Amino acid sequence: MRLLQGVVYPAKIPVAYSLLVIIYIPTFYKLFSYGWKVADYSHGPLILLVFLWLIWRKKGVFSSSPSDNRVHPFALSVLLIGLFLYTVGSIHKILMVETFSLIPVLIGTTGFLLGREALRQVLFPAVFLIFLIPPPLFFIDMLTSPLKMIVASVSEPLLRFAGYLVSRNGVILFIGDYSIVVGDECSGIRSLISLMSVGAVYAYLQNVSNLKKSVLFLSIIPIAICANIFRLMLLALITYHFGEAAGQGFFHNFSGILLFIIALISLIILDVLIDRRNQNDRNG
Amino acid sequence: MAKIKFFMVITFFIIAAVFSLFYKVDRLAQTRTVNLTAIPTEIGEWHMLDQHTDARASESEFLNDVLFRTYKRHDGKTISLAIAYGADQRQHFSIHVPEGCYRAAGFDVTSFGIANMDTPGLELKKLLVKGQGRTEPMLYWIVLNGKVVTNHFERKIKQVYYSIFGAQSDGVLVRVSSLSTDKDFQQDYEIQKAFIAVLYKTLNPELRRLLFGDKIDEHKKL
Repeated sequence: MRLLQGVVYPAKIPVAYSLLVIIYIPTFYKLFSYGWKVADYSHGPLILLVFLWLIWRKKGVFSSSPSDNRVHPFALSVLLIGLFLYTVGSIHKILMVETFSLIPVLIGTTGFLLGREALRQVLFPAVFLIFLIPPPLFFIDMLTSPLKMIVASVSEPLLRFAGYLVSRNGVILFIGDYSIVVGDECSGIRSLISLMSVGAVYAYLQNVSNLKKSVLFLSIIPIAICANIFRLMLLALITYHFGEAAGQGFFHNFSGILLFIIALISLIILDVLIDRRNQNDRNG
Repeated sequence: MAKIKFFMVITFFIIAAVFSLFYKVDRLAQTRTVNLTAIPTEIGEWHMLDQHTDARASESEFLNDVLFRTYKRHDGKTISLAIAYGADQRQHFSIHVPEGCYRAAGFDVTSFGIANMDTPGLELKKLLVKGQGRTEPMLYWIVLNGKVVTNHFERKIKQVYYSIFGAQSDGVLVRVSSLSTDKDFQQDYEIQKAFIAVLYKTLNPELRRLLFGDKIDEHKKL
């Protein structure tokens, strides 16, 4: 009987987690079929892949037997709150709440079944799931127009400084014979969210203090805004020199990827700069 | 102990799954149909000059009905009335306030905060839009789900509520403006308020509820 128990026990963990996966199948079905489309959240599936990879790195946590057998009331309540949110979210068809519940459910299940150390290990991957949630529309709407204004009003003096005859009316830039309207899509709110998710993973993977991780993570916000300003200026210049077709066509689509690359490189440069400063401090 | 914990977790998962599978709440999804063109063409001493009902392509996605009208008084003074109606605020949040639109279009917008009207009881947002050789004093108010919520903060709170909980709500923005001069734009606000008061009296109960909210009728009973 003792022997049997030893054999049976490891199978319990996979069963519990399989059940967790099963109850979230409908949620992901909804996310794939409309949730991510409504908010134009096309990077949703990528977030899922990154999450799976983050969890894969921690797979040791799930195969180890729990270090202690005590019941952690904290983990238990997190799990129950999570399941409550899951139920309320799916009954009332509030996809945002339903998706969010995955975070407490995952943290709670792990903490309850496998102990505190395991909980600590899955904390980041679980919190990272926040990027799975299609942002509420009011949130996008609220940030879109100030971002548009910032991007347009910073680009104008910069282009003028570079010697171009530019004028601006609200979010419309006039350069040469062309007028460039900073549209909702160009505000950068979507790239901001996806860049924040990348920044979060980048900061997390660095083997540095939590303070430096937070600095790296938060710096992605000004970096993304600057990258957007750079993108708008490039777009304006291409339209000015090569005509509207060039600006609206290939480059307009390509500039999104370019923005991403510029932002990432800036983040890495910042990372290196902080390192160098720290070294100088230590040497000097 | 480990065994008990395992069975607890399994039970919780099953309870949650069963609840969400078999307990369904269906929300009524009805949209109020409105006909904004039914607004009278004669409002007191004002008569209609022209009207447009077509929303720009980008707006028509979330607005169900739009009306732009110009009214003229015998002395030649004109007033513009603009109404935007969105039947479902769960979609891309429909009501775009004039401040944002005019600023984005390059106008200079000065806000004078909230002004109150007694009959009908309204909270009005007071703006002065300047630019491109024009001075345009403007009043507007917003009705969300039958209640006047011109107040920015209150409206934001409701907006958060509707978009998170996916609640059904319709929204109307009514804007009254007129062309004026830098010198006497203050007088125009009084003319506009008088226009709003007459508009309120002229409308049939259905349109009145739509443009001025459900609560207006309660005031009358008192």
